[in-house]
Amino acid sequence: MGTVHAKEIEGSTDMDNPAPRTRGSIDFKRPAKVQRVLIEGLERTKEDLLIPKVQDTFTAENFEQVVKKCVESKAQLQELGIFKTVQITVDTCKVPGASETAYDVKFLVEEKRFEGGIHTSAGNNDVESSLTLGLNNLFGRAEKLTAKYAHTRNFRSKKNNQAHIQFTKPLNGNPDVRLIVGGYNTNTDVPLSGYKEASKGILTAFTFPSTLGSHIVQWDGVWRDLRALTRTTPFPIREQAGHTLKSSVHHTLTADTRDDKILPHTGYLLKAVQEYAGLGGNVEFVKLNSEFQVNREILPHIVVQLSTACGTMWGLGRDKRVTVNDKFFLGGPLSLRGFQDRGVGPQVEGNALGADAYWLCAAHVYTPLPFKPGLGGFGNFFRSHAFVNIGNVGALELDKSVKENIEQLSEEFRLAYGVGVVLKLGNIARMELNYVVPVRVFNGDCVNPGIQFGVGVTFL
Amino acid sequence: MSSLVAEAIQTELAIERWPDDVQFFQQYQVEQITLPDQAACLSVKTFLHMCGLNYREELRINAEEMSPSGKVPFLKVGPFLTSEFEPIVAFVNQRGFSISEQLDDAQRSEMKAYMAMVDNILVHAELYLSWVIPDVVNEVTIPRYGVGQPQPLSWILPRLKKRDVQTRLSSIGWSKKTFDEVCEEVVTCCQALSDRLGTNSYFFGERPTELDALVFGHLFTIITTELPEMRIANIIRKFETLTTFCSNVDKLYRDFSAD
Repeated sequence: MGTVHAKEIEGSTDMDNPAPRTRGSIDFKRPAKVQRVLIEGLERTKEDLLIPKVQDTFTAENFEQVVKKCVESKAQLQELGIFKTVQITVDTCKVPGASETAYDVKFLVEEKRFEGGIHTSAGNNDVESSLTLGLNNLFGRAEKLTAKYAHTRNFRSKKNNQAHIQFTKPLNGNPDVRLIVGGYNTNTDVPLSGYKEASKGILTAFTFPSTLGSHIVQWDGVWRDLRALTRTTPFPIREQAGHTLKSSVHHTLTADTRDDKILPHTGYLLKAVQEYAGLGGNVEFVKLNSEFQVNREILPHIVVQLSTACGTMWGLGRDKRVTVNDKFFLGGPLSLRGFQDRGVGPQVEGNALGADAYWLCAAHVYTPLPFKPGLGGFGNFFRSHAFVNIGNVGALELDKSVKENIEQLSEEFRLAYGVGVVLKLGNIARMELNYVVPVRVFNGDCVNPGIQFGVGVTFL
Repeated sequence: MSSLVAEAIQTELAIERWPDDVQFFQQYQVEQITLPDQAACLSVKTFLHMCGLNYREELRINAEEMSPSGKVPFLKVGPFLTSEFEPIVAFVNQRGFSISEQLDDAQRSEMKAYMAMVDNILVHAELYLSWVIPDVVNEVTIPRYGVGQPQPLSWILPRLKKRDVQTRLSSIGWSKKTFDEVCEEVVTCCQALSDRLGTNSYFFGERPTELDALVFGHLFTIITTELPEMRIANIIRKFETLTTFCSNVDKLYRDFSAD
């Protein structure tokens, strides 16, 4: 009697409102006590990681609570990310002499040892192939070791590749409080700015939640070798070539209440990054960058999205110089639409030099595709949108007043509006096909009027 | 192909023969530059001076990385960059300045042969001396090459460079040579140069050519640089014709080589 199978449901959305299938009739209010909790299927996982996750089930006082607590425990176990499946079995206690209200709870788990995959994805004019390997639960306490190698082929650049290795350890078994150490090696050609960069770095990061959102505090030590991309690279870029050692700490705060990362209906996103470089090494600057997005469904299926982003940096140290690979760039089909990638701001012979400060605002109105084809099905991956975006680059100078700085940054702003179609790719990227009309452009800007196409993971 | 086009454009645009803002890039001379680079830079400077061309010296810690060929020195003439001795000589000739125009074809090929000998023997001997002899590598070359870089780059970069140089030397079979054998090569080279020079002021008569600039740059740098290992310098000093040649050229161009 009284057996409840809470089978894993696709996705994890139903965790909070479990709808267990029942057999026969059960009086959920009858008193019940959990006598024993068994976890079956463990090979490598240490007990001390799991006990706090399932301990709560002992506090249940009636059958309903038993079921509820079990499902909560199951959700906690799954959050660890070390189990392929978790199944719950509740049965009467078989120990001789146990009372009738005593129950045994059994979690049947299957450990996930390896994960990995080979992916190929096509982005903005390039094709990326990547190989990922992950070792789960390395020492039995939900540690994870991941390695990734990605290779990009681009019609302009020959060699872009990156390799990352990362070790993650949750502290006290809490998957939100993690310690991360890792290393990486990347080779990147940046034809739009006329340089190539080879970086080798190590990082240590600590993530934790707070009432404001989730935080990451990260230290990066990276050796970067910057070179002019071609013989004809203009001198202002070539001048910056050489080896730099950047040792920086940055703090990232992310608060995200949106219901979807790519095509949200409601909620806001706040992301603020503060970076200080100069703990050793020969790169010294302070960099601030923030992004805010708010979404509101004003009419059924019609969403208004307002976003803004801005950033500034100051070079420190003797020469107060920040090299091109640390600067801000503006323009592109997913940021300042109507302009080409890195199309706004100082440049020499078509090579963007980057700016010390920028701001960008965008307003979108999203509607389903005309005549709402496939609404509720594949149509949910598409939106049509109308937008206007406005932005500028410049520099914030500390010896000038706030008013002067604002005047300077708001002069010569760029403005463009347009309409288009947005496609959600997985839950991580989006594709846009727009018709854009740039309204305010300035000499030297690389403008992209008319049809503009873009794919990417970051957008405004 | 694109470099051919670039050269064609370069020829097309060569309206102003020698603008005022020509810049000469090298590393910091006092603290940073290594012996082979210093010799190369001095050769080019001597050559430009012999041509009577003005330039402004720019000392950059990242001169090597800035250079289009990855080697110092390099010249910036308007928008054009040219690096290393021979391309710079060709570039200057193309601009209509030459100090070897009085030579006939036979002399010109003889000059080229001597220049090739200097490149093959003296340059490699300098590399061997700076990057293979342990005392010199550890006490002089590595600290100088890594100067101005933060730890651990000041440790890594010289060692990467050392590996590159040793690969280069082994590709021509020099890494297996002992220092004695290297010294013998230098003796042969100096003997040949000394014989060619004879009692003349310059290698080809009374006027200097690019060979004089090249030889002076290398010999003068070797004999005036204090190193824990002075055998090569002492070999050169034994050739009186060559030391006289060096001091003559140095006297004539003291205003720049003394700085």
